[in-house]
Amino acid sequence: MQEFLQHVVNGLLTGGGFALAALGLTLIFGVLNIVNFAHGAFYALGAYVALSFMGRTGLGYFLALVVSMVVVGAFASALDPLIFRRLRGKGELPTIIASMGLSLIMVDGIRLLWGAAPQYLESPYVTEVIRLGSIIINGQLALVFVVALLLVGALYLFIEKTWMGLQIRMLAQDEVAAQLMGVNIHRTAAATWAISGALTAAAGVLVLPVFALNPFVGDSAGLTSFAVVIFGGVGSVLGTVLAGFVLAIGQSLAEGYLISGITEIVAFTLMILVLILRPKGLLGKGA
Amino acid sequence: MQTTVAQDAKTAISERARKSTRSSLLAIAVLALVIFAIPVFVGDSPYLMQVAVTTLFFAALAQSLNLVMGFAGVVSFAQAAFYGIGAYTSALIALHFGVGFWGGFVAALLMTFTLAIVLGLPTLRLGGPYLAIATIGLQVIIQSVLLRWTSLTNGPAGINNIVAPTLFGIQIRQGVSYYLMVAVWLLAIIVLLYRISRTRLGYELLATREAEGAALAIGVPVSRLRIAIFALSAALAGGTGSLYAHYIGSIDPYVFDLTLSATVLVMVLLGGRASIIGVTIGAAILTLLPEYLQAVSNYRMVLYGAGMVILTLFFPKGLAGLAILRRSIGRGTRTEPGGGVAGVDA
Repeated sequence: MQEFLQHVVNGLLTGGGFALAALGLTLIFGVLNIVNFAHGAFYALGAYVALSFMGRTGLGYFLALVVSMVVVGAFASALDPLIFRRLRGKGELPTIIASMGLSLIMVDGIRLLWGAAPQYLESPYVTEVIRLGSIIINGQLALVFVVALLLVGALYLFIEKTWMGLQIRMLAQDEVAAQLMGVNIHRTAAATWAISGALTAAAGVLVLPVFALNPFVGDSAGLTSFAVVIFGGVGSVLGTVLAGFVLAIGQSLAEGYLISGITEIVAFTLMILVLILRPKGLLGKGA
Repeated sequence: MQTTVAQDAKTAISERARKSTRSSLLAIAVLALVIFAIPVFVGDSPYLMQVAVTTLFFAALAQSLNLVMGFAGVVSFAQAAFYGIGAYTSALIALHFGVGFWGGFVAALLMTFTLAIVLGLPTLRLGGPYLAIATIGLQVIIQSVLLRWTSLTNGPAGINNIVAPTLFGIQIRQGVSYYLMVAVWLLAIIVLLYRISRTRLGYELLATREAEGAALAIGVPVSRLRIAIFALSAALAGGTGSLYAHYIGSIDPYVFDLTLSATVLVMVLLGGRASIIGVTIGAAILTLLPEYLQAVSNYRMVLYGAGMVILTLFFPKGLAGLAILRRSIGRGTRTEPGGGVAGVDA
C-alpha cells in the first residue's frame, strides 16, 4: 500500500510537468489548427538555454527559468512569420512536414551547438527531500508540481481575462469572423506561438534537472505531449491538464509494477486506445 | 452538331491520355535501362556496387512511401518501422524455421500488411493529423520493442548471420547478382505504382487526396481505400526490409529509426509527391550526396530538416515541378489554387 501511494504521488507530481509540456501543443493545435511536430524541440531548447545562461552568468536557477521562457517564446513567435503564416490555408500536410523539418533542424542544431554528450542542468532542489509520513517527495518534483499549477492558472487567467486572450479565443473559434471583428490574426498567432514556446521551455527547465540533458531529450517529451493532448481532447486546457495527471500516474504505476523503460509504449498504447474508443478525448468538443 | 463536338472532345482527351501514357511508359523504360546498365559500368568495384545497391534500397523505400503519401495524401513517419519489421520478420523466420530467404520474404510481406491494417483501422478513419501522430508513435513503439524484447530480437546487439537468398540453387551474395535482384523488386514496385495510377483506383485515390468530401459524395470508399493503400505501402516497405536484411547479413534496431523515416520522406518531397520518376531521382540524389560530400554528413539532419521546410514553402512539387525536367519526366501537373499538386505522373 505504501509503495502504491509512493508511485501515485510520484505520478501526480510528474503530471504537473506533463500537463505543462502538453499545454503549448494543445494551444497551437486548438487555436491555429497546426500540429507542431517540433514541440519536443522547444522543450529541449528551453533546458539548453537555461544551462547556457547559468553557465555564462553564474546567476540562479529561477532567473534562468524566466530567461529561457522569454528566449524560447521569442524564437517560437518568430516562426509564425517565417514559416507557418505562409502555409496557412494550404491544408495540413505542408504544416506537418514543415514542423517535422523544423524539429530536425532544432534537435540537430542543439547537437551542433551544445554537443551530444549528456550535460546536467543544476537546480538547488534536486537534492532536497520532503517526507510526508512514509512517503518521500523529491524537492524538484514538488517544485515542478507547484510552478506548473501556477503557470496553468496564469494561462487560464490570461486567456479568460485579457484582451489578447479574448482575441486568441476568437481566432480559435472562427478565423474569418475574428478577422471581421478587427482581430489582428498575425499578431494573435505570433502571441499564441510565444505562449506555447514559453510554457514548453518552462516545462523543460523544470523537469530536466531530474534527468540528464541530451539533444534528443525532447523527442520523448514531445511524443508524450501528443499522447496527453489526444487523451485530454484537442484544444481543451482543462482536459490536457487532467490527462497529464492521469497519464503520469498510470506511467508511474506501470513502471513500478511492470517493467521499466516502457514509458512511451504505455503512453502510445493508451493514446491509440483513446483514438479508438473516444476520439474527442476526455473533455474535447469533437474530433 | 453537339454530338460531334462531344466526340471530338472525347477523341482529343483519349489521344492526350494515350500520348501521356506512351511518354510515361517511355520514361519508365529509360529508367529500367539505366538501372540495369549501371552494373556494366561499375560492376568491377565492390564499393560502387554497394553504393548502387543502397541507392536501390532507398529508392524502393521512397516509392513505398510515395504510394501512401503521394497518391493517398497520408503522411506516414513509420516507413522505417515497417522496413524494420520486414527485416526482423524475414531474418527471424528464416533463422528459426529454416525456410530460407523466400519464406522470410513472404512472411515479411504478410506481417507488415497485416500489422498496417490492424494499426490503420482505428487511426486512418479519423483522418486529419491523427495518423501522422499515430505513425510517429508507432515508429517509437516498434523501435522500443525491437530494443527491449531481447528474447526474440536479441536487443541492441541485433541479429547476425542472416542467410543469403538462393535462386535456382545458386546463392545470391553481395555484388552484381544481389543488385539485379533488388533492381527487379524496385521495378516491380514502380510498375505497380504506375498501374495503380492509371486505373480507377488511382483516380479514386487522387479524388480522396484532393477533395475528401467530394470523393465520399460520389461513392469513393475513402477510409477503406486509405487502409488498403497504407497496408500495401507497409508491405512494400516490409519486402524491401527483408531484401535489406538478407543483403547486409546483420541488423540492429538503431537502423530503423525516425531519422530514416524522415530521410525517406525528404526523398519523396524532393522528387515530387506522386511522381514515380521524380522520387527515384530524389532518392538517388539524397543517397549519393552524403556518400560523396563527407563534409555534409555532420550537418545531414539539419540539411534534411531545412530541405523539408524549404521544399514545402517554395517547391511543393519537388523536382517534378521544375519546368526543365517536366517534359522529360512526363505529363505536367495541373497547378491547384492552393499551390498543391494535382495529377499523378509517372
